[in-house]
Amino acid sequence: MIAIRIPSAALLLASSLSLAASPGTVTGTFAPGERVSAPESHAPAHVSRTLVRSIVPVGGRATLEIPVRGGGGLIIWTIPSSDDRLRSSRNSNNAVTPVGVTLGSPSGRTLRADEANTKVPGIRRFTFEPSELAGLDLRLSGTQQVVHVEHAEAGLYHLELDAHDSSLLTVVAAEPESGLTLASWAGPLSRHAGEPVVLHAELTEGERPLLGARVSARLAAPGQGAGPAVELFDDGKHEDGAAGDGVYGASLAELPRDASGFWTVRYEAEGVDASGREFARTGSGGFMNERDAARLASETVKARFVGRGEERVLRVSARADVATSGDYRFDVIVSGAAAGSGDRPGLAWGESSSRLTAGSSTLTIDLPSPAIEGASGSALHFDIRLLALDPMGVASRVERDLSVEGR
Amino acid sequence: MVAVKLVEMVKTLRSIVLISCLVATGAATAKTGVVFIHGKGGTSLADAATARAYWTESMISATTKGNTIPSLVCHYDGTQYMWVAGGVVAGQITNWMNANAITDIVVETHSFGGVVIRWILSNPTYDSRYAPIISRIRWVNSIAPPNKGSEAANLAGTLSGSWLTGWLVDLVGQSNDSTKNCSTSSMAYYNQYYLKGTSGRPALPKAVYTIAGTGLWNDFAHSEDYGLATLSGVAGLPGEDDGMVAQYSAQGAGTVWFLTEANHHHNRRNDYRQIGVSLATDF
Repeated sequence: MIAIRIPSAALLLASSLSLAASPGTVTGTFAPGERVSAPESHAPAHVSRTLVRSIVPVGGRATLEIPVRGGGGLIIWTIPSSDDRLRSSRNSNNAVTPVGVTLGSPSGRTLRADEANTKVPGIRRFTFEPSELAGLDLRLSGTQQVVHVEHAEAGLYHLELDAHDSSLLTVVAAEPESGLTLASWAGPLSRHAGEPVVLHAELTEGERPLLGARVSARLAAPGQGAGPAVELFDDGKHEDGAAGDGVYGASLAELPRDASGFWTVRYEAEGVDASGREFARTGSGGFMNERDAARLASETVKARFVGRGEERVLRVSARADVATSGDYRFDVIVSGAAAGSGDRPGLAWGESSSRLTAGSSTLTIDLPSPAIEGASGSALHFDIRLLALDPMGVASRVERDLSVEGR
Repeated sequence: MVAVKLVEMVKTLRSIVLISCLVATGAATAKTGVVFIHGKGGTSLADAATARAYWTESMISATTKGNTIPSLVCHYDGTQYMWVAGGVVAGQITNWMNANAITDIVVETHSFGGVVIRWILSNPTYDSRYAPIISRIRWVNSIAPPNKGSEAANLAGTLSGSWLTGWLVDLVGQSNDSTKNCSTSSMAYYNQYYLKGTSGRPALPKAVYTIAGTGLWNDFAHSEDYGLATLSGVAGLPGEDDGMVAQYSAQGAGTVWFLTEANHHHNRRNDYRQIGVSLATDF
C-alpha cells in the first residue's frame, strides 16, 4: 500500500526556506504534527542471505563447497578478476576468457561448464556484461557467469571453476527466499574517541535463533585494508544480550587504527542448525569514527527569549572548544515533551555555518519564537550539534532539557 | 491510481499558486526550465555528451515537450561524494539559470542524483550558490533515489579489495566515494545529521516527488536485465526494487508520486514506461 504524504498548506507557498539576517544562517519551523526523533545508535541491520568467498586459483583451477538450506532459489555469480601483468593468454578481442563453471548438486545433478543448461529442468546458466552494472563501481572484467537453480536442494553444492587467465575468483552465492538470515550492524553510528565499538550479528531461521555458530568480523578503516578477524560470542557477556539467543556480539574498547572517517565491517557466520545441516552467510555494517575536532560544553548551553514583537527570537548559545580550526556548522533543533515512542513534537530548528579557529568560541543562533512560545509545558528539549564541514563529521552533540528564560 | 491523481492535483494547485505569486510580485516574465541530474557511475559522466546519453535524447525531449522548455543536463564525475557532486552541479545550474534568466526550475533526478539534490536542498549555507538555486526550484521529481541507501552498495563494499591482502587488493580495487555514500549505513548517518526530509528530521525546503522502480524484466530478450536481476537477488534488497534501489529507500524522503515497473536502467529513459511523458505533465 502506498502511503501518501500530501505537503502541508505551508509548502504551497513558493519557499519555506528562511535565510536569517546573519550570513551563513538558516532557520525553520516544523509543520503541525511533525515529529523529531533522536539519532539512532546504529544503522538499520543489514540482512543477508548471501555468502561471498574469494579464491585464488591454483594451476588455473579452483573448487568451492557451498552449503545450501534449500527450499527456494539459489543464485551463484562468479566474478573473475585478472591482473594484466600476469595474463598469459587472451582471445582475439583481448578480453578476459570467461570462467568455466561446473556446478554439482547434493543429489548428483550436474551443470557442466560446457553446457548452457542441464537436461534436468530448473538449473540454467546465463551471462551479463559488466556495463549492466555500470552504476555500482565493481571492477568487473569480462562476461559475468551466473547459475540459477530454481528449487535448490538442501546440502552442499560443489563448484568447480576453470579460471583460465583470472588471478582471483569471487563467488557470490545467495538464497533470496531463505528464512536463514544474518542481520548485522556496528555501532555507535557516530562514534567518538573513548566509546567502545559494538559489533552485532543475529542469526535466525524464521523465528528460531541459530546457536553455536562461528561468527567473526573484520573492520576496515577508510581507504585501508581490513584488520584481523574479531570473534563474536553469544554468551551474554559481549554486548550480545542474553546467552544462547542467536545474537552474537563483541565490544572493542579501541579501534585497531587511529583513522577517522567511515569504517566498514564485514561479518562471516558459519555453523550447523539443529538438524545438523551446514550454513554460511556474509554480512556487512559500518560506522563513522569521528575526528573529535571540537567539543560543545554541555554546561554552557543557554536559551532565552530576546526582543519584542516581530523581532522576538529564541537565542540559543553554547561554548565550543575547538581543537582543529576549520569550517563548522552549529545546528539546533528545539522540540517539546517526548511521547511514549520517544519522538517529540518538532518546534523550530536553525543552522549556522562559520569558520572556527582553535580555542574557545561562543556559538549563538536565533530561532523563530512563535512556534516555541506556543508550545505547552515548561521545559523545552534541545538537540544541539556541532558538525564539521571539511571533512564531514559530527564533532560534538549535546541534548538538554531547559526551562527557557523570558518565556 | 487515485493516489497518483491526488498528487498530480496537488502539483497542479501548487503550480497555480506559484504562478499567481510570481505575477503578484511583478515577475510576470517568469521563465521555466528543467534540470536533469544523473546518478552515480564512472568518471566519464563528467562529460556532457555522456551525461546526455545517460538519460537519452528521447527522455530529455519527452520531458521538455519536444525540447520546447529550456533544459540543462548536469554532468559530474559519478564517483564523487554527494557534496563534491553538489558543488559541480550547483556551478552548472547557476551559470545556466543566470545566462537564460530562468526563475522557475523543475529538477529531474535519477538514482544518486536524488541524493545530490537533497544535499543541496538540505545544506543551503554550505555553498553560496545553493540558496539562489533553491529559491528558484519549484519542486524535484526524483526517480529511484537511494534515500536510505542501497543494499547493492553494501554488496559492492563487501566485494571491494578491502577484505583481500597483498597484491589482490589492487586487483579488485576499493569502492569509490559515491558508492561509499550509498551504503545503507552511510546514508543512515548522513540522513541523521546532514540531510533533511526523512522521518524525524526537518523537512526539505522544496517538495520532492518520488518515482520508485519495482520491476526487473523489461527488455524484450532480457539482454540488459540479467545483471540487475542478479544484483536484486544477491544483494538482498528488501521488498520491491528495480535491481539497484529498493522501493522503501526510494520513498524514504519526499512524497510518493507513482511506482513504475521500469528497472533501474529503464526508469531513466522514456521507453519501457514513458516516464518522460509523465514528467512533462508538470508543464
